[in-house]
Formats: sequence, C-alpha cells, structure tokens
Amino acid sequence: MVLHFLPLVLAMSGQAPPPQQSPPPPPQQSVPAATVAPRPPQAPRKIYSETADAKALIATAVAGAEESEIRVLINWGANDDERSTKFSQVQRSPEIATPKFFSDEYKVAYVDVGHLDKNMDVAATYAAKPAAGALPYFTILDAHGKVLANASATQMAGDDPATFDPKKFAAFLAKHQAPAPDADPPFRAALSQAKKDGKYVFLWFSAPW
Amino acid sequence: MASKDVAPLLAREFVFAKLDFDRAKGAKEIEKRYIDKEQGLPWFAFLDGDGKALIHSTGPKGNTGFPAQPDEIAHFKTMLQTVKKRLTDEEIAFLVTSLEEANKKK
Repeated sequence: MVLHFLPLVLAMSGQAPPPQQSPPPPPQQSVPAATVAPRPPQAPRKIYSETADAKALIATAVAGAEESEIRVLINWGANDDERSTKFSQVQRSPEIATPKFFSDEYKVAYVDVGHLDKNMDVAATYAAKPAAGALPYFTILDAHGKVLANASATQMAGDDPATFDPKKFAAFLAKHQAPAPDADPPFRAALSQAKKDGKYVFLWFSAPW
Repeated sequence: MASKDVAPLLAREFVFAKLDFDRAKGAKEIEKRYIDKEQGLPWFAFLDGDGKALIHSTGPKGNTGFPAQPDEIAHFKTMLQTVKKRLTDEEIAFLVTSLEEANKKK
C-alpha cells in the first residue's frame, strides 16, 4: 500500500501528515551458502541520532501526537550509555508491547544527550534533568507539547538497578497516556457539516501507527 | 503526490471524518454500520449527509487500504465516480494519476 495517500487525506482534513513509518525490512531469502557474498561488518544501530536537530525531532513527534490525539515520550539518552541501549528490551516486554504503548499511545523522540554535553539546553526547556548514571531520562508531553511528567531511569529500575522494571515503566506510561477519544462527536459533526454544505463524508478509519 | 493540489479538490466534494479504529470509543460500532466484517486499516467509506454509505473501500479484491495497486486505484476511481457532484472527470483523472505516480515512486 502506498503511504503517500495518507498525506493526501490528512491534507484534505487540514492536518499536517504524520511522519512516515519505515517499511519493514525485506524478508531474508534462503540462498545456497556457496553464493552468499561475505557481508561487511555492520556498525550497531544507533538509537540516538548524533546529528539530528533535537527540537525538530520533538516537533515531529508532537505533530504526530496531535494528529492522533496521543502523547509524546521524549527519551533523553546516549548511545554509549548501557541502560539507554537496553531500552529496546523493555519496549519488547509484554507489559509494554501488549498494550501497544509505542504504536498506539505514544510518539517517541530519541534525543542524544551525549555525555550530558548535548541538547541539555533543549532538555531544560522541558524541565528535564538527564543526569549521569540515571539515563535514559523520560519526558511525557501532551499533544500540544506541554510537559505532563518527567522521570529518570532510576525511577523505573528493577531489583538490579542497571535494568528496567517493565511493570514500573508500563505504569508510568499508562498513568499519563491520553484518554481514549470518543468517535461519535466528530462523526456526527462531519455528517452535519456535509449535509449543510451539500457534500459527502469521507469516513476514514485508521490507527496511530 | 502534490497534496496542495489534491487536497482542495477532495475538500470540494467531502467533509473528512478520521476515526481511530483501535482507540476511539465507538469507532468499531460505527464501522459495523457499514460493513459486517473488520476490513483491516485503513478502511474508508463515502457517506451522504444522512450517514448512508454510498460506496466503501472494500472492492472486488477486498479492502484497498491506501490505493496503490492498479485494481485498488481503479476501485478508488469508481468510488469517486459514484459520488461525484462537484468533481469533474478531468479532476478525478488527476487524482488517479497522482496515486499512480506516487506508486511509481515507491
């Protein structure tokens, strides 16, 4: 399916299109060993872009959250911080993955703070206080960019302080997630407007992902 | 896809109602008014002002979702032609072409 069509419809509704999701990686094909060319070693994928404009990253996330009436989670961390790099594990835990926090409830912005020497000015504007030994740090924003909560990784630690407790993190996300919208008022409003203007309703069912 | 060209065309014919199928309370019930079986996402329908569905995105080969393949784009064209009041044939052709061009760029 062509995701280009989404901006078409969103533009029609007067809303900015959300960022496109990357397509899934192509399935690996089974190839006889003799034909497989040696692959060059790949550098580990960096979670936090070291060159991105943090303000732009956050603005993109807020725009996506506004479109879907959900929240933004800013993850302030660093690629050479062990617990920051372990964050993807907690994302895959059942407590986080099953309620679909990261696909349905939050737009996530990963902001590199380096050795607490990058983007700290941006963090300060959100009253976020990333600190040594306590990364990653989390800020939750509403769909308009207003700060709802700040928390450090140490507040989400498990019995082993170097790990995350998925239940604590899930509770943090659940506490601040946006209330479910009611479908009926916008639906009725669209019908009413269409009738008034002699138009049709383009009824579109989608999901935040 | 030049949304700045496409959006005004569609806005002449339609009022847009975007519902979050998974999160919005009552969204599934609204969809059930128009089709028995869940169709996957996105799914869309053109309604009149009384809420009557005139045509929806489930075509001969199933839900078109984001129209991309030729049969999906053809069904979307049929949808537009079914309801057109303000859109001209030339404008519908432009919309179809914009989808085809977007697909070529993929």
